[in-house]
Amino acid sequence: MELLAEIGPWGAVATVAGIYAIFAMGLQVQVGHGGVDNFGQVAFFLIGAYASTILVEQHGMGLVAGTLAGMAIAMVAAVIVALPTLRLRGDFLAITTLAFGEILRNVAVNERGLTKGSAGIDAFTFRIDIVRELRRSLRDQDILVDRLAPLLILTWVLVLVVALVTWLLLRTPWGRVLRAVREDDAAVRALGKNAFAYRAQAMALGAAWAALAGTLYAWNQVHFSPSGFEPIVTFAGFVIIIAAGLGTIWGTVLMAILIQGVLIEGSRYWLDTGLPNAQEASLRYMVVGLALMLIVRFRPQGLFGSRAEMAAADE
Amino acid sequence: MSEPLLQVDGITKRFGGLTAVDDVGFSLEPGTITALIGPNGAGKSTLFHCVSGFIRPDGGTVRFNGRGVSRRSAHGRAQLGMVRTFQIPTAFNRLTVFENVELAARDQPADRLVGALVPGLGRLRRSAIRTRTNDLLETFGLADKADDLAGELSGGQRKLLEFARVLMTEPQLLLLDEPLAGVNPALGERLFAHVNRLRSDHGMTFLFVEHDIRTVMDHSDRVLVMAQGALIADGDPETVRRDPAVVEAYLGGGE
Repeated sequence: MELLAEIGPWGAVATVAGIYAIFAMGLQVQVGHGGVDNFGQVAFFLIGAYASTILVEQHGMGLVAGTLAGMAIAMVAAVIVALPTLRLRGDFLAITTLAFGEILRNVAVNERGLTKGSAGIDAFTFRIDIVRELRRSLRDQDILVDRLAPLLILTWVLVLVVALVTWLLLRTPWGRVLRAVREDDAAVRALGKNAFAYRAQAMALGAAWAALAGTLYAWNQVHFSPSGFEPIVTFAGFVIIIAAGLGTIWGTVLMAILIQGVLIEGSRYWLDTGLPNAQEASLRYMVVGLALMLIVRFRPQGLFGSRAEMAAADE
Repeated sequence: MSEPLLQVDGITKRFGGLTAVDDVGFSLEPGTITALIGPNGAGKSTLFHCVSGFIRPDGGTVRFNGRGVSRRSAHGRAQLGMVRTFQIPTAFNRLTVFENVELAARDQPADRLVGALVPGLGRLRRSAIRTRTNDLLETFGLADKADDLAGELSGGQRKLLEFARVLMTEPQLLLLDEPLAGVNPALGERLFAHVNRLRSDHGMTFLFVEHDIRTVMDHSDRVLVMAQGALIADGDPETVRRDPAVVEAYLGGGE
């Protein structure tokens, strides 16, 4: 019997799309619902990837414990970043968080004792302990699976869990107050609610999702280095949430598939331009940019956003 | 009289070289309606911000219900029952009218992250809050707008919505920042009818800021007048209106 015995390149693309769906879900909590323009989301992605990898590979922590520890560290970091920055207005906050992401990436480049610097670091425990063992035991029962299949399935199970948890949480009175903070911070304080705490919690929750995505990224890459944590990662997340519509949850999952999956990762398999690789890579981002411009021009609320909400926001 | 509901002493606020509020003190008895007036730039809004905790004064103390609140944050003061509104009415535009009012309720276990993580927590309280929200929307003539986004409301409706929303917090003291600004006279009368009703039915206390001395005459028991950062008059509306210092402040020449 064959079960995803040969998933081919689209399986790898789907895994990356899932990782970005989780990553963008974090931004959706912060930006879409909390109104916190966090341009440094990649920092928490980095923390998740490095913290879980260092704890698992160098300190013998279990995969689950390492993943959770990475998320917890990212949440603490988010609150620490929040303390001085969340009182800033939109664009100042954006610049500060962008700088935070770049600082962490440079720390990862230079703190070689911890991260092995630009040479990169290995996260092979998942591939070896889980994937190899799983395939071996399944092979004994004559079931063949692709070596990329377990992570693909795990990622998409987690996408659904993260989306569901986020969706449920944002439907509670807590989510409602969070959106009120987005609309008018002072008015929320005047009602006796600690607006700052809500924004900090949104930052922390979003950071936890980014860190989870970071750990999955590490397992998918097996070997990774600080160059994987450029600001472009954050911006790809922003493209996803803006194209989907700020605040949308399930739309975000679909847009991650379309943008990160079909357009960015997948286009090399369906688009044959005959151009050299580097040029084709640039072309991909141009196409994504153009798509975003068209969406913002003709459907400013995003593909899945509400037009009425968009109109009401301008009042 | 017993202890005042609000006791403000020696509030001073400087912005650079300018003393916006200069050693201002007053107290409010429960169940009273007090107007705070003064010409533009008199320091009314700054004083208002200092009392409600939105800016930190350079000196002075605020006591509410016999309790020092000077070190409390704005939301901490609101939790105790002194709740303010804004000059430009604030609405949570992308939330529905119903949600705008509903979310203001105090003691909602699930409006905190920890509470929200526990399924079903506060369900009983939520249904009580819904009932009260419906009642308030009914009272303020917004019931048929309940499901509209607040951003779709007219200016006057926003004023009513803000009023309904602050009442949801069950305040003891309402601090109204220019409740009549940009409001047509009919709506102004309606708002003050609500104020009078709330005072007589619930013993609520009001302090409101206004520019114009005439508008406050019919609506307040007592008038505080500020000019150039200082309190220059305090008394019933008729006495204050005749006060030469007040006349001078309003006609200019108080240099």
